[in-house]
Amino acid sequence: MTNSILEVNNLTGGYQANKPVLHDLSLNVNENEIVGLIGLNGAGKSTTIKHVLGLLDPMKGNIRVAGSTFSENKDTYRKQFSYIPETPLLYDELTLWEHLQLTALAYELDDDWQQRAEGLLKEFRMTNMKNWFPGHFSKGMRQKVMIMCAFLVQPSLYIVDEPFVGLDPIGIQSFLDTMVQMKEKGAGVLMSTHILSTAERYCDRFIILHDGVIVMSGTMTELQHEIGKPGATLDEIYIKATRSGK
Amino acid sequence: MMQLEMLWKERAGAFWNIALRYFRLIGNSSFLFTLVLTLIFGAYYYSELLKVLPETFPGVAVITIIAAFVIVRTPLRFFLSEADLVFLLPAESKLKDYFLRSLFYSFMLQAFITVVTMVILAPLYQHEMAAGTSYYIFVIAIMLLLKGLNVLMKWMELHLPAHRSVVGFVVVRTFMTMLLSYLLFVQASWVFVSLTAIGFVGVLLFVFFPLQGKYAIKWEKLLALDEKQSMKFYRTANLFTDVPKLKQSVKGRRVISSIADKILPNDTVYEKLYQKAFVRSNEYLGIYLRLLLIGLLVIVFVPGTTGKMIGAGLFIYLTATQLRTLYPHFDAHVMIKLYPLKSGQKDLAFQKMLKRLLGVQAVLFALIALVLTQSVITFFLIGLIGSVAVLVATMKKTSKP
Repeated sequence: MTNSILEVNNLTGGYQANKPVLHDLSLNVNENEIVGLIGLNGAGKSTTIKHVLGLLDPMKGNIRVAGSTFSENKDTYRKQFSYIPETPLLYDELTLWEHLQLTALAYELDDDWQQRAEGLLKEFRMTNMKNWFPGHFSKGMRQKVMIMCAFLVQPSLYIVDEPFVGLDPIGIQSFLDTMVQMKEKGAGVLMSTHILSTAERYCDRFIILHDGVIVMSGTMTELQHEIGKPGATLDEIYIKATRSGK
Repeated sequence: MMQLEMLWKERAGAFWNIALRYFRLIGNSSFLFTLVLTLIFGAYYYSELLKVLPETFPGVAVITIIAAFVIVRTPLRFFLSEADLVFLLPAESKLKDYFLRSLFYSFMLQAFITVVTMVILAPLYQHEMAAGTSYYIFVIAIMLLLKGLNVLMKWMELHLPAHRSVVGFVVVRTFMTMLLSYLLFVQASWVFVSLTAIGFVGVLLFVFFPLQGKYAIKWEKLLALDEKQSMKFYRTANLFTDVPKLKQSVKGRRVISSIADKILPNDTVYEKLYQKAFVRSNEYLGIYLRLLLIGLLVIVFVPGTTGKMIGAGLFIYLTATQLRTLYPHFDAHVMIKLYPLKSGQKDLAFQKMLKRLLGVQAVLFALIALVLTQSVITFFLIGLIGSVAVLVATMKKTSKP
């Protein structure tokens, strides 16, 4: 039995009426599942994510998170997911701990968030920097702040945009471990990335986006079968899918 | 410590703290003196101009256009930060108060500008319509009301998704504002005024308000707006002092750039850099052209050779003061310091470009005076005062290294 936590139905969207970036896109993310969103630069990954976040309104089609669209349920729609952006976005004026505090405030988390936050700080080796100002951290450390804030919420859906760039190997491992933990607890994850070898190991399903259209989707076995090459790596599948101009 | 209710106050407070510091610097600079001089000069000739204004001058139309422009142009300020895209997004529905405060704040700032504009227009209006002061004060009050309605309408417009054009809404808003202010200015019958006012409110309720319910807040658009406005402020402040927060905005300007390659100094490293920065970066070119244009207008409209001479000198000096902020433009660049350049090249290059730019200005000023007055003496006098101004302006030691 599968339950869709995120459903994108026939989405046409983008920034200009006469030049949509996404064409009739349909995809879904189920509970207990990590879905990899894969595509070249400019394929429409970030636009898809912006539509899911409710930053852009669909021109056609709709997007449902836990069954309802943004306009149906403005108050709770965004509480269903947390978002890790490609570039860390932080406040210069707030310390690391205050960022976690603000997250708790925005999502109206119960008081036990503090314990979870301490746990996350430890996992990501940031306990010492709790009262530092992350505005001056390195890219990797700022990325860790974003990751911790997202995991603190424990939502039913994670939207993750290229999380690995700049992270050190231990950071990457901590991120992946926590993500798998959340998945096992029932969360769904939509992750856009270019690091295909990692995606291959951790994602349950893949969606390959090219020029705003889904060219292939499915599990590794399904994708390998589709290109008629059992044992092919995700890199091979990806290059084949995007080169053939399907 | 953190409460969403306090957020707006904290942010507006933080901005004003910085802004006040810059205002103090601006107040201390010599530019203020030049500005006051320009104002007195302007006020004097404004009253002179009114005396000689022909009967056929479409005064009310001009007033309507200026007033409507000030009222329709409605930049809103939200004090958003990029990180809000992640942290405040889930709390959007709790931020109503935050956005209301932003709207009220934007209204207050622009109400001030509206009142100032209306006061400046008052003599022209009295000249045209000979209405009582109390009526004009009433008109100003209605203008403020219109400003408020425009703030609301603009806020609704900002909800429009990227694929729906905003043009129709702006046209409706502009038309309604112009119509109502025109009727008020010509003291039209109450029936027309009230009918238009009712129409205005109807448009707000039935055309603009539904947008808010239908669409989400466009965070990225608001962020871009905020960014644009704070950069405008910092760029203005940058004319008086170094503003570290200023991000560079660069425009290609292919045609102008290739012209500048030929007419501006372009032989040494600094000459090339300054020349490119002048054309492509920030507002330098815009400031130069704007001052050139206003200067030309002043020389055309100000009667008497003395007035024209003062105008020419003043505008050349003003341009020099403003362009001087280009001097430290590349100071933060490490690579340039590593180049094997002769000492003094930087100062030389800057002076040379400044002289060239101001020289062009002086020549144009003198030429237009010649065409206008057909008097070689005026041409020479303005040319003379222009050259003196160029020399004085470029002699002044360029600010600290």
